[in-house]
Amino acid sequence: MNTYKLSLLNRLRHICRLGLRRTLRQVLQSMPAGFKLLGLIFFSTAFILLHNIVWLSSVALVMVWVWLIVRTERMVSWQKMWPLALSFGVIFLYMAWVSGLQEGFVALFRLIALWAAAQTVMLTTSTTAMMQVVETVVTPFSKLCRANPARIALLFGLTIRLMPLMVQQWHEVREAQQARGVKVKAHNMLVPMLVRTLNRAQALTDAIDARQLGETVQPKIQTHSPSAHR
Amino acid sequence: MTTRTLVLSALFTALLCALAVVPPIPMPLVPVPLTLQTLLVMLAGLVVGPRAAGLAVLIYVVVAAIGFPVLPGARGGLGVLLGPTGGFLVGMIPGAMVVGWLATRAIEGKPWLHIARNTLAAVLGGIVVIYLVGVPWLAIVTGMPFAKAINVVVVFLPGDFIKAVVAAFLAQRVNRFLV
Repeated sequence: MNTYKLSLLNRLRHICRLGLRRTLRQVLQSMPAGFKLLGLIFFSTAFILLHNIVWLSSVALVMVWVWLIVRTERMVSWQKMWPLALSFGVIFLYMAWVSGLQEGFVALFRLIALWAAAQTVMLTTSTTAMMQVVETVVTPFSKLCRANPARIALLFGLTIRLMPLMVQQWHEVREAQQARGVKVKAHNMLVPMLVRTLNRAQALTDAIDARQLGETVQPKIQTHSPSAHR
Repeated sequence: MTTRTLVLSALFTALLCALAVVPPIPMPLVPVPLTLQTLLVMLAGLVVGPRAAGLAVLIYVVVAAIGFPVLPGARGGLGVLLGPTGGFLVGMIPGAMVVGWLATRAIEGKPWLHIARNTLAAVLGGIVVIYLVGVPWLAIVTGMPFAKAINVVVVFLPGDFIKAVVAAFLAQRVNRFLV
């Protein structure tokens, strides 16, 4: 391990940065999930009302900074980010062309801020916590329609877990098609995607049925006898 | 809700969300890349049926409403849903269900009839229903007269027709794989 002498100032800076990252991450992770989701809803609505470029750009910068702090990976992977950057660029150019440069920037900062806020919420909230929120929200309505809140919470939890898997599946299919020399077009990508998805569905259905997930309302955590667990 | 419906809905919602961040890819015959979202909604209805497809799109719209950037172009939030294009997104929920109700499984020995019927299903659900919700919404939100709203969206109709035909073809190929 590389040891090198840091000046006192650099050392303090290092500690502050570490402390800030850890503190911010802890604060965000310990916030209740419902609060964070409500915050996200509020933000996404408030951004539409905000039109001041200075405010929008500062909020966007703050959200990106928070997102960068909360991430566990150090470097921002350009390979993963370029489609997003491309979409943002296209929207910026379109808005600038239609409504002028200022509107273009307004749209761009709104997109960046909202995206960073949503990423921060996703990174600091566990799937279980989100499922709990869904269950709490759905339970009062479950008497109106014959919906089992636990099943609906399971539905949300599954969706969240499957999203990165679908992105990965997309990349896999794309590489497989490119390896065959097939051009990446909608009709070449979607059939393999759907077939893989439907095969995955069968495996998942069997697994969930076997574990009887979402059958009843979440049971309380059973406390085992101390001897059984060590 | 059976487990199979639940799993299929979750998968298709995840697909819809994932395809928001994937770069738009070219469609056959069309020089401009279109969003895959409507195509996927039609496909969902054709392949998994009305309940799972409707549920999938409903959850997708709910997730988008909360603020997650799952709409095409990594957009999201109540603002987009209550804005001018919101109707076209909300209309996808009944649209997917109509496509599912009208879709047919494979017809023995007559693939062309099968594709034709599914194209009709995709057009009725994926275009008619969605535009029936979207165009009035657009007119009301932007305050423009109805005729002008129709003029605005007419541009997208050819692309959507191509999507419906492509969806029917793809669904037929998917069903062939799985049978």
